[in-house]
Amino acid sequence: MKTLLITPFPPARDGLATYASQVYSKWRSEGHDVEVLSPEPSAGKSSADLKTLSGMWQAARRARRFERVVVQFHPETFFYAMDPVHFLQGWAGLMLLFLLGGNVEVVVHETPHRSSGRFDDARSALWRVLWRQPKRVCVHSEAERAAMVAEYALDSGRIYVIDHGETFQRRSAVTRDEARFSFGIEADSFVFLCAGFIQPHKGFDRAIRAFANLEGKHLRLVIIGEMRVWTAEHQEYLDLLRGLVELDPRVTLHEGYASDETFDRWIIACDAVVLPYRHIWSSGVAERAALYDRPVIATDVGGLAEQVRSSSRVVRDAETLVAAMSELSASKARKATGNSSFTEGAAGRRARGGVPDRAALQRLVAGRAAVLHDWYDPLARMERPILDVPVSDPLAGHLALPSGQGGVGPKAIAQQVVRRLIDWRVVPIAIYVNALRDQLLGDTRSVVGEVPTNAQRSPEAVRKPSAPQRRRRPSSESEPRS
Amino acid sequence: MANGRIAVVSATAGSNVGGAEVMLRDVAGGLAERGWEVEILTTAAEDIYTWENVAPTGVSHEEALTVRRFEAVGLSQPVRDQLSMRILAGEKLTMSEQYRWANAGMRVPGLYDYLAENAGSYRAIICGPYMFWAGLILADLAPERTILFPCLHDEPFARLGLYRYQMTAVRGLWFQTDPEFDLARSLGLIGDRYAFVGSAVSNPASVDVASFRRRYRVDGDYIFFAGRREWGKGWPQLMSDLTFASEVLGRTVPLVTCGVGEIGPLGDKLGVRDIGVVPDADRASGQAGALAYIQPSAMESFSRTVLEAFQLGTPVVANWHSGVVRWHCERSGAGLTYANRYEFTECMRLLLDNPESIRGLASGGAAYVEEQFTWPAVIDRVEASLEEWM
Repeated sequence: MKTLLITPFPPARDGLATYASQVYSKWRSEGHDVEVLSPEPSAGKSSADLKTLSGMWQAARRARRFERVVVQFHPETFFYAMDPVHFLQGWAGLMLLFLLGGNVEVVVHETPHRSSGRFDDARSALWRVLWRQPKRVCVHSEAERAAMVAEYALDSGRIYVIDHGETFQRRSAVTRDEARFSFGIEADSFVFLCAGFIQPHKGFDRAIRAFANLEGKHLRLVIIGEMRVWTAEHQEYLDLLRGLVELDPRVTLHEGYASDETFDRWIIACDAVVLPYRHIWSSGVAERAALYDRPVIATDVGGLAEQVRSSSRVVRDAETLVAAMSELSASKARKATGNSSFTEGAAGRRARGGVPDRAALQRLVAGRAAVLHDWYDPLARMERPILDVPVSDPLAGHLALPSGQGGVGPKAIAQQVVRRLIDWRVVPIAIYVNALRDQLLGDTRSVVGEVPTNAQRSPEAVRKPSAPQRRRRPSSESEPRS
Repeated sequence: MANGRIAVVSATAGSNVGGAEVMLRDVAGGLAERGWEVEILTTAAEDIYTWENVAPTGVSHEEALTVRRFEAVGLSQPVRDQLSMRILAGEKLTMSEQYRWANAGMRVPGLYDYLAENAGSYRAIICGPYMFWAGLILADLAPERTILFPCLHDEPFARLGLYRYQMTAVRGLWFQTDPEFDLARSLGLIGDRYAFVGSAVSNPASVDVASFRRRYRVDGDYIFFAGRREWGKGWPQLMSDLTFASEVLGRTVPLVTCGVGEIGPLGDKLGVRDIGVVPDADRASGQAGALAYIQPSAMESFSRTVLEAFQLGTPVVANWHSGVVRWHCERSGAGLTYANRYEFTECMRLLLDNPESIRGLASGGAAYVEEQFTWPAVIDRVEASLEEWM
């Protein structure tokens, strides 16, 4: 069958391109006449800027020459951004392709996260219209299908679930020992592997913190990956990982791009793959691990739980992640998971009379909350430059607008007029800026003198992050004033 | 003692009122019981949202109190809203703008006329809270006779210069709690005289949890919130925190709530049962049957409902950012606080997994209230202060 594959394509450092290259190879091996149209010039036969209407017009015209058109959909391929203007531009381009492109199928790798913006309902309606146009819409798990049905009110019968790894092929034929030898890893060690692009939602920090609770010099945690796109947030996250890695000699971070062969060799070398994602639809890494029969520890997000094999573990919080890593490596978890960091234990009760001790319970809540905080929002607890702000007087530096005092003369009148014209827009911005400032001050307070630098931190501190680092609480109860 | 005529000036004597108005009414009643001649000067409005004049204006006698109601005016507030936004943005308004803002809200011109002629006939005029318009006119008309219950909490309005003038001009300030006083002092609002008279909650109404559950079709464990469902009381944040907690814990945290205000749209993960405005006895029963009482507001000056929960043996889970509620929880040992959604979630986890550990906390709550927040003790201190200052 003459098929056009519209997708990112190698050479490109992109998981979707890697996925597509395997689809391409498999279909060709099955005798199909497959051609690729990619958003950038690539090894594919043609390219078009798929974020523009003109590019989509080109793609649609080309698509009409094929019996089957398969679009590998990820929002970043088709949208510059998700603001209303760019959303409409991308949406119109996709409509053009779906309506004019002939026999179009879409494989959805991810849809945009639902926002809570003003135009959210209208946006959902537009997505709904869009997804009704292709002949087939495919996802990789039942969970993703259910999410699409719920999000866009689609007929579930029109959404097909396909195996994420059905086209995946092995890229390395080395043995486990050979793979370990090539990376300088001891044959008798137990290796956990985190692999993929360095971004907060991949949750590699979760793996490091959980790993810190495992006892055993033979244990290793290897993280391989690079920043796919530089952003301040990604850089901050990479810095966080670097800082955490410094604290435990058993953990290594290999920054940089790994070829397909190297990537697979790492999987062969490891004993278990850890996918502690904060959110994802489905994972190519999970499929690659399955190719080599490596168990996976994955968080219960998106379609991951459905995707991983029976030998794998699905976790939902820090505690179960530690337990799963401990179980797979048959190693002992440190007491940290069994005392105040996670469980109430004896701390919640006074020695006398069994009456709960409020201060102990409050510390318990704070300690657990710190773990929860790291689990969901790792960057918020990072040390940041201490700003030269008057933390003792948090309102002193609020953004203030001109007082608008009356005056005489054309200048004063002009000022009044301008002010009246812009107040309705400027005042909310000032409120927002001041709220941000207050938040910053709050964070700064929590950092000043309370959070040690990474170099000062002990591994124990990483194992048992505690909320008192975040906020100074009075340690003793204040006496009543009579 | 009980020598003299006292005026208690309150924004409303209606049913849909705030804690300050309830407290003033209780102080007035307490003084009247001890033989003081007490008049309540208030508006005909009964709803603090609309300020619509409902009750007849004029004089009425309600139990031992004489109540004089005046018409509230200025119910349309676009200018006030616009100026409020500038205050909330941190802008420093000129004094004339501050007065324009104060006068753009609810006013009671009839009360001004009355006080201009009659303020001198009262031994003392007790007023509150600090943002009530009448406090400003009293600072001009009869500062030497006025005692203010500021009912202060940390908000941008408390930093306005006109309130510094008001609070330092009056004869004295009565504070309910230490955190309130500390805030006033930090803002430079303390004048020549102040006293800690405290505040109190009345004895709980008779409680019948089984009847409450039947009447409002409430099953199973739940947490409880009674109060105005509005931004200022932390309601939207509570909904957000509950949603997060339900996601993390993988189960719904059931909330039963009563009071005024729209509860707004609820997500799929929220198990919120709104029973609307209910009688005090039902509210108390709801509190008594709850795993915990939730206080999400960061802007409390006393937090009557928290103390009511303590009285009923119900533990409290409260917003750490409210200084006074934190103070109550720390001193009584009968409540936990949360500073963010993560701590909120962990409080909920404790409640659901090990309710007895938190339930046990509440054992000291009733004694805490009994020792420090009963009306006889408050009225004792009010009378002592009146005798000393007036």
